[in-house]
Amino acid sequence: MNGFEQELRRIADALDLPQPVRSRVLVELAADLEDLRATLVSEGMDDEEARQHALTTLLPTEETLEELRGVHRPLYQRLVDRFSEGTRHRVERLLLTGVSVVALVGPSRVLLSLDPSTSPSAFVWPLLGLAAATMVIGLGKLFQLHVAKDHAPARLRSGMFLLPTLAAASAAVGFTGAVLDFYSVAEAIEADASRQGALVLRWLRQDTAMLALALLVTVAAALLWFLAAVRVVRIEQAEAEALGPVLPSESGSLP
Amino acid sequence: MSTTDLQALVRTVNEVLILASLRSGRKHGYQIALDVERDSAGVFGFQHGTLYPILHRLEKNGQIEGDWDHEGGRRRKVYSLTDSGREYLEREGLRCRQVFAAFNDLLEPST
Repeated sequence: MNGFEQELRRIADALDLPQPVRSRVLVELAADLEDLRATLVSEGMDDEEARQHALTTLLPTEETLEELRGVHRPLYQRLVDRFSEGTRHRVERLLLTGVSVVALVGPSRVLLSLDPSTSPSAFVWPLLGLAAATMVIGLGKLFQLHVAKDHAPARLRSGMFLLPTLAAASAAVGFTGAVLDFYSVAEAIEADASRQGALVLRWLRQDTAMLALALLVTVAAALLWFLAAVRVVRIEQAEAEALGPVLPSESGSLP
Repeated sequence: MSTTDLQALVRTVNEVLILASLRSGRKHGYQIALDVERDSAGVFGFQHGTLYPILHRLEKNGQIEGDWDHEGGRRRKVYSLTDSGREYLEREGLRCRQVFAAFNDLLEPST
């Protein structure tokens, strides 16, 4: 307890920021308030006077909080702020459901109906590597979260960025592979126009399978990241709430 | 000078004050507020937490760097100046000096 609990709780209620930024701002503010008061007291100021001075100097007003929100508001938030919350949630749910269904069901059916092993695109192999990396990292994070229950936020967040990176890499490899394969087929047709039909058919078969694989890896990496990120944020929120906006002296484990 | 220009100047002055304070080494937020107030003999000062949006904006722009210290089992944020912040301080510090010099010249009684 540092004597600023009430004020910090009021700030916490008004501080509409995403985690972990919200916790970090509160922890920073709590420590600064306490340290400024301690410094002033050590210099001979009366404790209550020092407390008031610290509050006047550091405690944000509603206007300052709005400025802080402006600094930390994500781009997506800035874009969607123009719609009402209800509309936003409905559209988000619809989009998420639609994208998941299309992205998972479509490619899965294509993959099942094809046999890419007969003449796979060369880009299937890096994609399989990315798929393996996605599974290792994603399952590792889920293991850390749900089995090992290692919930230290810094360790949880470590390496998380690799999942969206892998998702982006898979999409990029799939798209680049399809384009390069297309040029390769075009060159082959230019050299021998009589095999045009067979070459185009082969390109369609191998690259449809390759693109389906790319999409699956992308969606899987994105989903694994989303699941892990949601859990990590909940852990951080729970931790911040359990500690309150003020850090007790024996604690030091917030993000 | 329009209201917008004046707001921009106030914002720049605040940023320069923070960056100048960090020139002497890494500091916590409250130390910056305290040092700015004391070093300017109370002429400048941050009140009502106005320090934090400026600090966080400078951090986002890469002009300062925020790290977390663990002192006595507590977490405290400490800021330090980056190379980009040094350049910004030099550039904007010069601009502030020019503005205030022009202001001083205007106040001087004409001879």
